[in-house]
Amino acid sequence: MAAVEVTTPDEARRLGFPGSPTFQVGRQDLFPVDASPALTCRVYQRGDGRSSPLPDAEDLAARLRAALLRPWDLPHWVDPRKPGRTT
Amino acid sequence: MTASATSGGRLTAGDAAPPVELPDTNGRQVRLDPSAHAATVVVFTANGCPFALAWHDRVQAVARDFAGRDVVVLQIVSNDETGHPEDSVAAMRERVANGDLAGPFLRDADQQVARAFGATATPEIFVVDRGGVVRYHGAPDGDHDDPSRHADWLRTALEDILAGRPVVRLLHRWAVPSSGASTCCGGTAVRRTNARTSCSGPRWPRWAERRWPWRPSR
Repeated sequence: MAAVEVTTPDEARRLGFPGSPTFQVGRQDLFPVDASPALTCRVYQRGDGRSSPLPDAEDLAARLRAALLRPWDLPHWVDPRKPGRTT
Repeated sequence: MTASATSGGRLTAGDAAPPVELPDTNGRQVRLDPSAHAATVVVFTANGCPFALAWHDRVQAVARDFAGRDVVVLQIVSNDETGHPEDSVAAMRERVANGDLAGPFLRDADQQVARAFGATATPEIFVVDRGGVVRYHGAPDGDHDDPSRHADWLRTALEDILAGRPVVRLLHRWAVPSSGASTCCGGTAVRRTNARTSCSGPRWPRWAERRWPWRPSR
């Protein structure tokens, strides 16, 4: 797991970073959002309808589990048996 | 728009509030006149800030609950709308039309008022008494994620002011009051060299309760 700090608008554009915090697996957003890249905050909608700076922990865990079910399908996945080769 | 202080220092309890005159979403100038009310609550907020949104309903409830007790709540958006159209006047107007605001919603486009108060977070609250003195400075309550807190820090401060008592929370600079609890958020672009609201981060002592406020925006 890596934490990436996005510090400039150019970097946000390059990474397609829609705001902080963004949770990605294999460079895919666990909470896809139709937003332009920007140095901004993200607003997550909780299950009870509230706005929050963070998603529900259970929701995040579920999406993370789903995203990791087939890690070899993820872009940039590195096969531990074949270091150096990525999908 | 006028605002006095430009030092960049952050006002807190005991400081004199600067004069403020800002346009609302209809362009009508609204002036902070502390002498006209028992207490004036100045809230620096932002339309896209998750912390401001998390606390939003609680702040509106305070505005409604205290409206009949000679308390006015001024909510101010000071963010640079460049790259953040959600903080434009048009977007503010939309929120007003949706009935989201329980009081004047003011635009501080050049950030002079935010600078005058030294505001760097959202939501960041200053309560000004009839004498023009800041009596409370901080977050609405200690946890953006717990609506059951009901903005209790702010409510308690208002009750103290209305009763003519010293405000228990925030009796002195940097002590209790500049109340901990995380307010926004990271990165909502406000002009770098100016006051920064939204996603911000002042220099609160580490022991301040919880996580208020967050790091400064860029």
